[in-house]
Parts: sequence; structure tokens; C-alpha cells
Amino acid sequence: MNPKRIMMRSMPLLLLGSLILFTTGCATNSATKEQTYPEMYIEKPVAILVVPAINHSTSADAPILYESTVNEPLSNAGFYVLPIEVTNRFLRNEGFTDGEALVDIPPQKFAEPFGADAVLYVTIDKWDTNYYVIGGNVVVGASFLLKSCKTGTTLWSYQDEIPVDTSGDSGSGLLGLIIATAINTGLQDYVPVARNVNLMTLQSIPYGKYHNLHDKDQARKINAGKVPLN
Amino acid sequence: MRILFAVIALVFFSGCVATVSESNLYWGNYSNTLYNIKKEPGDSSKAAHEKELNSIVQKSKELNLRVPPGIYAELGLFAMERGDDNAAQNYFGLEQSTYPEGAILMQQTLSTKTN
Repeated sequence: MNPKRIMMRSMPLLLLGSLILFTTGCATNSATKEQTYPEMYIEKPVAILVVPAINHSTSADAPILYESTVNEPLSNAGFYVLPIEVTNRFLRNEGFTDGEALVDIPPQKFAEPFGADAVLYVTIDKWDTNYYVIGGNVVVGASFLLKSCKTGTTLWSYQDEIPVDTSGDSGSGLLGLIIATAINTGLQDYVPVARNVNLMTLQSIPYGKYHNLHDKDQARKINAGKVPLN
Repeated sequence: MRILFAVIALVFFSGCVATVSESNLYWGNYSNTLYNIKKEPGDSSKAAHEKELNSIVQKSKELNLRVPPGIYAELGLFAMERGDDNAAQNYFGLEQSTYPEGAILMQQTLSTKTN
């Protein structure tokens, strides 16, 4: 394969990579990770139990999109995601099929049977697909809560509403264009959207044990406009 | 694969080490084939996902990377469904040795054999 072709084919990935660098490294006017999430640096959770999402959106597909795309970015951020297919089976056997019933259970209860350090709860508030004459977009709104299995307190939280353009002509920047391309080529539908929502959200989380920058990212800035809730 | 390597190299040499760890794990088409199982459960979507899992294991070894969290465990579940308990046990053991944090869960899975 000639080098030029490699370059061409790697272009979208490279752009995405650059964008990640840009958004993680260059946020201005914001707080650091340690200021925002001090508990993460004290407790240093590694094993994360991802429980089924609470779906308040109009899309029946949203929870399975979330569930299929969260392992990858969470693991890439350095955490050990307890295998979701396995934990879901256990939860199903106990009668839990969606996240709604799980919020009343203290996170501490998950420590022993699962070996979890923290539980990740997600509420999907919005998954709206809009069609215009020329194009459209998907607006995804979600809140993430990571709670300690030791103390039950919130270690990390993030809420955001992310519009992803699907028309190819974009107000949502480079990332939107890349996703739009993926959608327009028609192969994977909304998996890239969900994946990127998870990816963008997780940029604010202090890195876990398996990341090179674990315990070294305290001073890193995050986008503080969209941080905690409880 | 060579393309992925080229990208990793390019990003790396562009000066920021941080994103390399984003690529420390090789995921192939994982999210897509997993989603397809949930969206359209059936033999063909299952077979496609299992094939993808095997390919992730293989590529990770080729690239000298750690196999991502959950990949061995999911292969173990497939083996268990087929009734191949030896293979299942082997996969759950691999998950556990790759990620000691998964030990408790893997032990549970072996002892209960839920399906």
C-alpha cells in the first residue's frame, strides 16, 4: 500500500485525534480536574460497574446504544469496566432490567458481589433526531454520575447536551462532520453518535489506573460549564 | 492494521503523548457488532460479534497490546452458551489474569453459571 493512500485513509482518524488533543488540552477559562473532582484522586476507583441506563428520551434505542458504546471510551480512560454483558446477566437474574429500579440501591451493595469500586449511573434525557429540508441533527442530552462503592458519595459527574449534525454541513464543527460522514454513508447509523457522546463526556474524568497519565492529570483543565449535579 | 499503526505513529510524533493511550487498546469494530446483537438478536449477529472478539484478541497480541476489558469475558459467555465449560473457564481465567480487578466477578460467573 502506498504511503499517500495510507495518509488519505487515516485522515478522519487523524482529525479526530487532533480534535481530542485540542479539546482536552486547550480549554480556557475553566477549572482543573482536581479542583472539580477531588474525590477521584483520593479514592482512585479502578473497577467500574456500569448499570443499565435510565431512559427519559423518546428513543427506545438510546439505552442499548449507550450500553454498546460505553465500554470503549471508559476503558480507554484507564478504568477496568466490569464486563457489562456479565454484570447485566446478574442484574437481570435479580430482576433489574433498566436503571430506574437501581437508583434506590446504595452503591455500597455492589462492592461485594461484583468487586466494584464505583458504579456509573446514566440518565439519557434527550435523544432527538431532527430532520430539515437539507439535512438534520441528533441532539443527545445525558447526565453521568459515578458513585463510590465505599462511601456512596459522587466521585465524578457530568451533564451535557450535545448536538451532532447529520447533514454534513455543520454548525457542530469538525467532529460533527466526521460523524455526519459516518451516518451519511449509512453503514452504522447512530453508533458513532453514541460513541462520541461517551467519548466527549469522558474527557472530563480523571484518568484511571491503566492510563499513562493516571494520577498525573490533576492540573488538566476541563470544560467547567457543564459539571456537577447530584 | 498498518493504517492504525500509521495513525498512532503520526499522532504520537505530532508531539502529544496523551492521546497515545487512547489507542493503547485495540477495539476493532466492537461497539458496532455488540450493538447489532442487542438491536437484532440472533445467530448471525452473535456469530459476527464473536468473530470480532476473536479478531480483537488476535490483533491485540500482534500489536503487543493488552486485550481490552471484557473481551475475554464475553468470549467466555459465548463458550458457556454452547455448553463448552472448559473453554468458558479458560476465558474467564484470562480475563481475570489480564485484569485482577475482575477476579471477584469472574469467580462468581464460574460458580453460578448463569445463563
